Amino acid sequence: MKKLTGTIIKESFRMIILASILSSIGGIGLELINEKLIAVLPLLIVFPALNNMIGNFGTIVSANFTTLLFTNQLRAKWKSKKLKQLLHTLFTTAFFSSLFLTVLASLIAFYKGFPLTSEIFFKVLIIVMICTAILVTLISLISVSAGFYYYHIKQDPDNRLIALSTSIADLGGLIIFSILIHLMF
Amino acid sequence: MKKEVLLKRNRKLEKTLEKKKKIKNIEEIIFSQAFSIIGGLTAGTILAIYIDKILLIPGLFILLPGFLEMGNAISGSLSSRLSSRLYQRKFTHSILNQNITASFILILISSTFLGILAYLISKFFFNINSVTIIFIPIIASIISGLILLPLTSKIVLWLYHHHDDPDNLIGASSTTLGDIINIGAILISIVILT
Repeated sequence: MKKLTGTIIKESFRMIILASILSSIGGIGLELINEKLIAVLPLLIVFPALNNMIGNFGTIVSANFTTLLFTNQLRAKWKSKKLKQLLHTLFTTAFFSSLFLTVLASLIAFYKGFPLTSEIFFKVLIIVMICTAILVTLISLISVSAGFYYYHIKQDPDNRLIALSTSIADLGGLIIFSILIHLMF
Repeated sequence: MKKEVLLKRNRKLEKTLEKKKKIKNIEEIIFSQAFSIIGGLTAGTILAIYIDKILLIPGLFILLPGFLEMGNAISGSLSSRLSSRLYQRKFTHSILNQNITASFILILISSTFLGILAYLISKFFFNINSVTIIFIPIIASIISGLILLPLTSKIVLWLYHHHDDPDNLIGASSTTLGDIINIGAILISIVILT
């Protein structure tokens, strides 16, 4: 096995396993509410897309952040203008993306024969918006802190940050999603 | 005097360029999220259509988020690593091959672990004793790894060579493809095993 292959496996392995454990814990929440999830079609349709969208925000933060670090545009500081710009962009797009997601999921469910009411639509919208707002904040805080930490201890943040941010997104997303469904339906 | 005017003009130009870059950045992220959402909704619709197949394997909802997360984390890391090497101008074919090999080995190991974990959780928390749940992620990971990893690498290279910022688009493309391919792979492995 070549050196790089070994290094990637060694550096990523623990984080991937941790991410899998966290997501499986989130899966317990999903298994507990699976009857409601199957009964309310927009929720079942929205679940992979919401997970995807929040995880994607994690990847965008991590990938942009590591590029800024490696191209010496951050100088490992929180109060960097570039970092603020990145976060501002992230929150603006998060708002519009969650709106877009709910509308599309509701339309698909409606065309599949689900009796969609305005009450269900707004409940789904509230669930998606709350999930997105909490998780984008959490992912940004943790990704940037962890990124600076790995950079300081001279490890490649690329091998860990994406797994870390997407697992926070998955576990947090599934837990918040399950709790909100339990409370609102 | 002329120097001052020139400096002022330069600063104005810099500000305009920065604004344009920011707008381009927002556009790229919105585009990538729209792509990702449509992919996720496709996966969700497939899930809704084949829900009877999913229900054949009790406890599959425990496995599903972990499997999707694992695939996305591995292909996301692969694309981020490749993009960083491209930016650093340290990209070679050997680096690409080693990255793909490492990602494939990681997918195989972690899906085996995930299968065992899902089995243990469903046995001890939900009293479901179905050994099939161990083999579903293993077969699904082989199917998805063979398709997803080479495809992700090709997309990163294509994005880089077409002057788009891969950082804003790789996440979306890898998670979108990842979710659709992974849900498809899980359904195929359910069909194989039941």
